[in-house]
Amino acid sequence: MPKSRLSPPSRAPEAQEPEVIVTGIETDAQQQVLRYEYVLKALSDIGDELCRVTSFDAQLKSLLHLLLGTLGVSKGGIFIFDAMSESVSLRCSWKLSKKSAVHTLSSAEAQEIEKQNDPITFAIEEFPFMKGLVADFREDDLNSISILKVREKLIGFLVVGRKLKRETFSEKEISFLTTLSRNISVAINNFLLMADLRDTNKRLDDKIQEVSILYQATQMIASELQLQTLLDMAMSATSEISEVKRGSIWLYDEEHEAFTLRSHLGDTTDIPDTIPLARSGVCQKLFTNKEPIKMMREVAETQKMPEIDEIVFGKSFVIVPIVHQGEFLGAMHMCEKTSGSEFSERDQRLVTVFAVQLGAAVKNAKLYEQAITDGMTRLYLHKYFKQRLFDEVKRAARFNRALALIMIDVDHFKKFNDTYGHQTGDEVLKRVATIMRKAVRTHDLPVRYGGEEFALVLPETDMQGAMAVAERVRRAIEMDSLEAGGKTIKFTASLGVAVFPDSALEMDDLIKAADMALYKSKESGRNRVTQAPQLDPSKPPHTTPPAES
Amino acid sequence: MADEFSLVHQVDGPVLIIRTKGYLNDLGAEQVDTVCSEHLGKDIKKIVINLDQSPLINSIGISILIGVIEAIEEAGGALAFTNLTSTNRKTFEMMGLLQFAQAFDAEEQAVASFKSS
Repeated sequence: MPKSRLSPPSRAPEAQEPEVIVTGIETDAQQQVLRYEYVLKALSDIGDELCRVTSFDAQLKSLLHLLLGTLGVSKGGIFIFDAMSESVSLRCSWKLSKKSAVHTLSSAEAQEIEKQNDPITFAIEEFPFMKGLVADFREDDLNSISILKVREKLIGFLVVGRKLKRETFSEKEISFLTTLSRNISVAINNFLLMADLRDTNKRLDDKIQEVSILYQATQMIASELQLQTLLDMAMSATSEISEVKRGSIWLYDEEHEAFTLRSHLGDTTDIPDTIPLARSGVCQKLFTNKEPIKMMREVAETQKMPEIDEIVFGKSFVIVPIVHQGEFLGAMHMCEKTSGSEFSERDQRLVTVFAVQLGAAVKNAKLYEQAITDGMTRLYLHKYFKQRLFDEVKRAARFNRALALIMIDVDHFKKFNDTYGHQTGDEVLKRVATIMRKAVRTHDLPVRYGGEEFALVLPETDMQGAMAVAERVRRAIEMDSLEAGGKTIKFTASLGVAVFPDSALEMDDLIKAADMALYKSKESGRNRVTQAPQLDPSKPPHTTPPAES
Repeated sequence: MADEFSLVHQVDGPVLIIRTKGYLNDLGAEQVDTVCSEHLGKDIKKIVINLDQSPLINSIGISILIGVIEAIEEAGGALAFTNLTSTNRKTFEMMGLLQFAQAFDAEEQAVASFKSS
């Protein structure tokens, strides 16, 4: 039976020689194929690594391991070049003696390295650049260093240790190392570009968010002319800008050199209504420099702050000036972030930009207020009263609500002026105005109607409520007094009350009804309150529903 | 999607046995290096790595195993791999790992060999 070529050999040993040589060549070829497959797999893994969503450092480490494992090397590291700081730093390493290292690399040296085209991989002792870096890792007995660059742009360096058994790299392995280094350079460059792109996107998102916050906040205050409403809106807008537990808006009173609290957010139990400029270091600094102040808790604790500043502004705060065309109008303050963290540059920037808008709005509101209020009594003027009363009557009719009008006239005012002089007469008017302001709610309207005559417009108030307010005002005027020429002078006022829709259905009729009631008070002996008659006595009077709790 | 890499280890007399699970193609495989370093520090120098549940090993895994081999060599210890697939055995041979570590078919054989030496 003929023997198969694959049968076990039965010939003499010397006759088997050629067959053994053939098997050895095949084995070498198979090993080569296996090695190339292995390197190709590593290249494909680098491609996979590029598609993974992970951090730059994790990706860098994976790339380093891929390279070390492909070459059969136990240690290595990747250094990244930062052109801005002209430095090279160890960003990722495996089994190196040092975990961090930073070396200077001037832009001139970097340019020289960037020009190095071939070779890019050097035996460590033959590398002509970065001698300090090489010396730093002498104890690691490194084998080689490769320049990582993409199109003449230096990315960094790759250092690798020796193979197992300290075998030297073959030419093929050096070629692998160069190829892998080039791939890694591209990968790192892509990572850096992606990181740059992500950073830029993040900054852009932040900016868009900032602009959006400011837009919303400024929209809130843009067209508001009522100073108090404006300041309250601005205060609530600060919660859009930054989440804080407390905040306050202060307007500067030039006459008294003091800051007056006009709006606040959060607990104000211990906060005074005014801060004299002389008593507050924070206010003085703000007033003098007209620049924002940001205080960190740690700094506040080491500084000796005036007690009033610590009570009002806290230990972690931002305070910005409200300025319009160089005129110092006041201050906007935020303290105690809800998160417990310190205020950031972003917080300060946003509130500063907002305060610029607020400055213009405050100035407009102040000018408007001056135009519609009486300089002496600081009550609204007759023209504004007519406009507001017209609006309020329309609103009350639309929503079927009551609206009260109280007319007030100081008794025997002419006699006052004749007896005590105009100055005393003016003082009486100011006293009455102060009493009226104290008696009203935020949305009520105290008015100087003309001469010694005043008015109060009380939205959402029925006859019973209006009579109570009128009586309170009458009594407060009766109880007041002033000193003139060594004498204590007492004064009184007569009041008339009319209510929409019980007393009148039109604005002019309402004024007439209140005037008639006032006239009745005068006729009946003064210093009293009279209510206008009902239009239809058979109908029950309109009543204001109790306020929602 | 590759399984998340994990390992369990136990000390059997003078031998540390590490059983890996999942592909050694990720940075998770650095755990092998950590566990080996900890035990070499405790003078346990004979280490058996059972790769039965880790059929895929790429260059990342190889680089970590080379690190382990160097550490064991420096400590004067011995390393054995068990349950290698034929592909992994070829890769280990090609990369020279089996010049420094023995390969056994089964964990028990490797442990018995280390205990008797």
